[in-house]
Amino acid sequence: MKRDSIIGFFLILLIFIHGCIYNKAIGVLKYPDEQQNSPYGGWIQVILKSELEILGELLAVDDNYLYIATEEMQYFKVMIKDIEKATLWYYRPDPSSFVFWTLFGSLSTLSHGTLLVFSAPMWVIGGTLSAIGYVHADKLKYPNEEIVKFKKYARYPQGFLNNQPPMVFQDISELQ
Amino acid sequence: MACFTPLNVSFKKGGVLFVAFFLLPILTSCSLKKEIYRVHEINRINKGSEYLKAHMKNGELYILKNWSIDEANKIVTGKGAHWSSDRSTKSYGDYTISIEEVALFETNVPTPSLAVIPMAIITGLSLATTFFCISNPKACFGSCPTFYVYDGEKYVLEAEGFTESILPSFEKRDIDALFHAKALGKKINLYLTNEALETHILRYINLLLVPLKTKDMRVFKTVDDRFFEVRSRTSPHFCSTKGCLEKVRSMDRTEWFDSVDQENLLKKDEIILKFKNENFKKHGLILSYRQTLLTTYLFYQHLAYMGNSAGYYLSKLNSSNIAKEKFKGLVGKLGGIEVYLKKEDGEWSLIGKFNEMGPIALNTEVVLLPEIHTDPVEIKLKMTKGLWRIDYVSLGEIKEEVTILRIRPSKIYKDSDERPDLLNALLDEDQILISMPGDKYELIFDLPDEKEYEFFLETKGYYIEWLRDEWLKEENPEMVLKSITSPEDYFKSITRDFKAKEGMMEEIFWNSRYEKR
Repeated sequence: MKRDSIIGFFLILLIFIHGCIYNKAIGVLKYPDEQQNSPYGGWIQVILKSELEILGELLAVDDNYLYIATEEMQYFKVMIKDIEKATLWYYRPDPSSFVFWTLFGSLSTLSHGTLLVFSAPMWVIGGTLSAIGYVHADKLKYPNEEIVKFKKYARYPQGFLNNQPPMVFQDISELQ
Repeated sequence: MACFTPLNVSFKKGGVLFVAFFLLPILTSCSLKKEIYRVHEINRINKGSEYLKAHMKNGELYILKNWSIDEANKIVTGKGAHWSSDRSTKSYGDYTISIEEVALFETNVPTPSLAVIPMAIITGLSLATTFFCISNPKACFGSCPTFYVYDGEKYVLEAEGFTESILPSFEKRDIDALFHAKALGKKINLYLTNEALETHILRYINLLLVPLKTKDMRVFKTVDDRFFEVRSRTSPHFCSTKGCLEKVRSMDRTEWFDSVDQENLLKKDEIILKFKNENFKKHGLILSYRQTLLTTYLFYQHLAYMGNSAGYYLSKLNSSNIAKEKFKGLVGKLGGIEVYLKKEDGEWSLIGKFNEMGPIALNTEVVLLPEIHTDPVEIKLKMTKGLWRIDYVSLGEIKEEVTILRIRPSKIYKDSDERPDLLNALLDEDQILISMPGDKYELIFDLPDEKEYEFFLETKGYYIEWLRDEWLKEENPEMVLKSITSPEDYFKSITRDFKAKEGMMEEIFWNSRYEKR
């Protein structure tokens, strides 16, 4: 019975980890092996000082604006000075392998008998934090990082040369 | 004791299954390392990348597999996909792309996720150290800012800036020869890196140029920063130390050096070189050299002895002239490479000294010699045993002193992004550029024309060493006091410890460079 409870706990943990890192942004990104030959840029969540939020593919960055395409194929430009915070993901992380290791590592301590109480939590803490650390490692966050660092993850890292973007952008400040 | 474990089950089913369960997470946990390259960086593109993306100036995109770059014909070829500028249409095929139409290249290389490698929680500065550094903390890579230049084939480490400027009050100008630097058309690119656990503070970075009027002309600087045109150079035909002659006759990075004395770090060594007298009107002794890791070790060991009080000692050193004199006295015991010329009466006469600090980049300089009437010309180099490495020595024909042209950077990039703010900081002496561990900058200099030039790097600034956790364990105020009151005894007392590490220090040093992932 005790063993079944422990296994049940870790299964719940598995769900927890997936739940805590999944959000809509992650859902539309590709895994690393797919992203390396993808023509699209990273996924960005921007929260403005006005509390308006925009989520979409980062198309380009210039000195004054971020250019974003939403999932509904609407195109917006956002003034950098109006941004409160922004988060960019470049690819979809897959922490399930960490969860697997954590689960397995934790289960392996079942053999320790009375030591389980002391050894299992270390696996769980280490594994959970590593999984979340992995997810965090693939993010860029503004204002922690300068906006210029986001540029290389855009669909057009070279920017819109000669000021000729291939689509028409609406200035998001006009919606506020 | 519980009788069931997944391990037991796995073994019953086969050891392979057991191994797979533990290897699978490592093999499947990937991150993606993205690199952007501008067109002139084409020779740096990561050839290990399966895909190459070419972002075109018109917004279109090629994603190529089995790609190759033909630099001579300025084309890129490969098989893959071509996307329209709005990514609405796509075609497949074999493509040949003109590099001139490309805005940027991009690679994405999957790498094992760092988060896998320890599953435990690690904190502190030890996180930044490699295995080698942990095993031997005072052999950890350390330097002032390092500079890479293009030598016609690849980028090579050619200079380290203001090596002696370990504190703000030690800030000074430094000039280093960029002997192997080659321009790319009318531009010269320089990479500035911080590969150590240090903070680098840079006030300016300039290039000094001297036009080379003929193919056999080179320009060398003296230790007091004067510049002289040199035409012919003669290599030595004799060296008094076994194995030395073949190593110092050409500038090929095979260096002669000795090991430190068994009992006393300060013991001196001499080598005698002989040159045919070519009857030059004026002679100069040209040397290409650098320090061994002895000074790095001594510096770090001293910081270790200071331990938790290092901040106090260093602030005293920064502000007190008496402390500075004591410190210079300590360092002065090591000395430079003294140059002696044998006169007609057979007596040796001290002519000058080479003394540019730094274990990383070779320094190439000239010491002017008086009129010489002997044949052969005999030169003695006297130095602390085990402190110096010599790559090249020659006798040069000094023609005339030349004036330099100073140019300032026109652009600076950090992580492939142009940074006008950082450029302004370097162009204004009241501002500074701060470089942290792992930082890398590209500086572009515009040349006046496409002539051949001799290049020198002019820098000013200072750097602050980060104390490693491992050093603090050696805190020893008595040794700090000894270094001030009895420097000779101090050096003798640490000789044995250095000798135990001397043989492996080079490998540890070069394997512990700090690199941002």
